[in-house]
Amino acid sequence: MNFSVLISPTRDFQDWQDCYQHLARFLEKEQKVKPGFWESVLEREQNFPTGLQMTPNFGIAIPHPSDPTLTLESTIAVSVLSHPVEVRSMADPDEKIKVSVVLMLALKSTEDHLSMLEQMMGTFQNEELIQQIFTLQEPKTIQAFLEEKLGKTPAR
Amino acid sequence: MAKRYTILCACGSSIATSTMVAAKLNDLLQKNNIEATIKKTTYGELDKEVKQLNPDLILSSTNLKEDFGVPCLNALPYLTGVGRAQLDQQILDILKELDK
Repeated sequence: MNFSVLISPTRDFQDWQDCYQHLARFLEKEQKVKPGFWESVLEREQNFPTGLQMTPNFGIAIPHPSDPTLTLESTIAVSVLSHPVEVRSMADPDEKIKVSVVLMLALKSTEDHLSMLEQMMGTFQNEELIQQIFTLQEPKTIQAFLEEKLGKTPAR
Repeated sequence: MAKRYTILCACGSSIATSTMVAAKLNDLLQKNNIEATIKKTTYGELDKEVKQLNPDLILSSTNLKEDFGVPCLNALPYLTGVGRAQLDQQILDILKELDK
């Protein structure tokens, strides 16, 4: 599918809200989404959180807005955290889980969401790939790694 | 003739996780030759949709606190893949029971 990955150079956040806001503003600044994106993400997150326990000791969060029309160009904004943040679980919002990678979805179509979620679940349940991502330092390297693993159509 | 079911797939935005849940559900139903109308919705619209469509089953990506008087399953296994076979079986069991 056609999308790009934006990697946040910041990897240390106080809490989930600090992290999500940073990623949403990053998307806004890069003009990948319309103004109001952050507010839509926050509203959804407060009502329906997006933390997912992928393996027994590794969690991700996939915050996204309730309104897909706020997206201009399909993009995933990612922060690979140096310290996990605590978020509420999607399966059970009363449960808190620690997440180490936050992937904010700014995707335009239903097909994009389906394809992206399938790729993400495969990638982030593979222990080897999870380990590998934490060894990468440069945002550009992480970006290339994730774009490949998440199935970006190569440029011709 | 076998019953045609109505199944609602709900998530926070009706675009991300419910799309994945609806796709996996469709795979399961096709494999088992079960006819169903699958409708995606948001948690906010769920109450209204239940009244309008009178569904046989609700699949949700979170634990729903409200009781809609309809069988309801947490379909997160269709997102993560963990426990998928078990969820498949639960759905088939519920639908089989309804067809009696």
